[in-house]
Amino acid sequence: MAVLAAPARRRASDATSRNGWLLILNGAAALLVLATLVAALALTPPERVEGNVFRIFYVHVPLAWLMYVAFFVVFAASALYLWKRSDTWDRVARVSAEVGLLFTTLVLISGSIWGRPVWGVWWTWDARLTTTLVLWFIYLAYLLLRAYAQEGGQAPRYAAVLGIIGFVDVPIVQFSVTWWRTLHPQSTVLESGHLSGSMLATLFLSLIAFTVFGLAIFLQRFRLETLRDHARALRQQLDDEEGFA
Amino acid sequence: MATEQASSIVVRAAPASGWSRFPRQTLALLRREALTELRSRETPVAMIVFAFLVLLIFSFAFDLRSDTSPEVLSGILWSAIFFSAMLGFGRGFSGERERGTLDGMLLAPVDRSAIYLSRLLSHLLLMFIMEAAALPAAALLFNIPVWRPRLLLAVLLGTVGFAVVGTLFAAIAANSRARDVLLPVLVLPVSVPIVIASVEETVAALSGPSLLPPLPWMRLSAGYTLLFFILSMVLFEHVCEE
Repeated sequence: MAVLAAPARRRASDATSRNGWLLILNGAAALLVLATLVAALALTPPERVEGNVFRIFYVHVPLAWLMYVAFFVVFAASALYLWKRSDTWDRVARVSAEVGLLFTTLVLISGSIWGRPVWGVWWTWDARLTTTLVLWFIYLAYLLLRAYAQEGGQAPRYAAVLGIIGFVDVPIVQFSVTWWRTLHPQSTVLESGHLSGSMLATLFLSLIAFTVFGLAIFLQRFRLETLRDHARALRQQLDDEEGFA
Repeated sequence: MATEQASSIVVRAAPASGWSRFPRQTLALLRREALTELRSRETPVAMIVFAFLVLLIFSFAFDLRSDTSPEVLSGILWSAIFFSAMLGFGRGFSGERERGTLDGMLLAPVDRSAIYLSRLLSHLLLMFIMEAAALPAAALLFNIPVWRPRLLLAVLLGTVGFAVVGTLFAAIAANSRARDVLLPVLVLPVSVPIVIASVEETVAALSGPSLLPPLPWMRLSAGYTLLFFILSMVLFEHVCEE
């Protein structure tokens, strides 16, 4: 099995938290996010209609972007897992699903926080929010499926099937919910006005910053899962050997 | 034993060659499904009773009267149908026994997609039986005109669409620890488009007299069903493997 063969190639540094590249990435992510916060809070003007409340936009939008990226990675890794049957792809899928669920939760929370002063309510069933909520549930279903799977090699396959189906479903959900909402319109709609120069630049910066941040989180989690799988395999190996003793 | 029975039913169907092989396999498997599921009558009865109970509870929950809007009635009807369907799908695959018979089928030379198709058809049969009882009950209790072709078509489309994803996820959930809870968790988010489309079509069917449901929603139902049917047929092989 690929996992058991890997120990020979491991370097000592991987076992510690001082993996060089990851440190650099973490540092870069921290700096970029800090820069984004400074730009978002101090360097850009308040928005015309919403004032300072609008600044959460620079966090909300990148998180939404990351949410979609993570979901796509789950899809791609699931398809690749079913094709190649490599444990690595399964690991990429489940780490991405977990990270994606985190980002979706943050999108919903940040959206709620934004919505309260602007719309007067914490939640409204408009198309975008509803679709995001459905996406949250699909991610959650993926993780619950893995959690409730019986021991044995089936969980990765089942999860991969869900990963593919879920992703294919997302545009359809978006479409149907938007349609449904145009039939039953509600008064509160997210206005996307024009962004001035510095706001556009800050948005751009925030997108890059959060992408780096997302990548750093993903890789940290991925490393953790790799080590966990290792430990599990070694424990299994020990159990098997002890069975002979 | 169940395993031998299952594979013997299928092997008898196997000798045909070419294009007729797949339909014959599917029919043989369907016969097996129908025999096991419907002979005991547990599942259809449980589904019908559950659908009735959902209608009853919703009438208390919403204090329904004769002037209730089509939107509410449509929602209630589809809640009864979808929840009852999930109950039926969950019962159809009961873990241990299922593994035995599934192994039997996998030993026989059948296409995995034939297994999925026969499952789907048996689930559809269960749903139609349940709806044959639930729709008249709804007509009686809430005074809704269920005999319009438009409404029946809406129910048909929604049923098939929901069964397509429900069957795939039922096979997945059957092999996990919390299968009763997991099935709704898996099916409901993914089935949101068909839920919306079915409810909207039914609202239109209840509100106005014309013959066909509003075309856009019908297109969505049909498109969704076709897409996920193909996807499920292709992916079911991965669900079956050991």
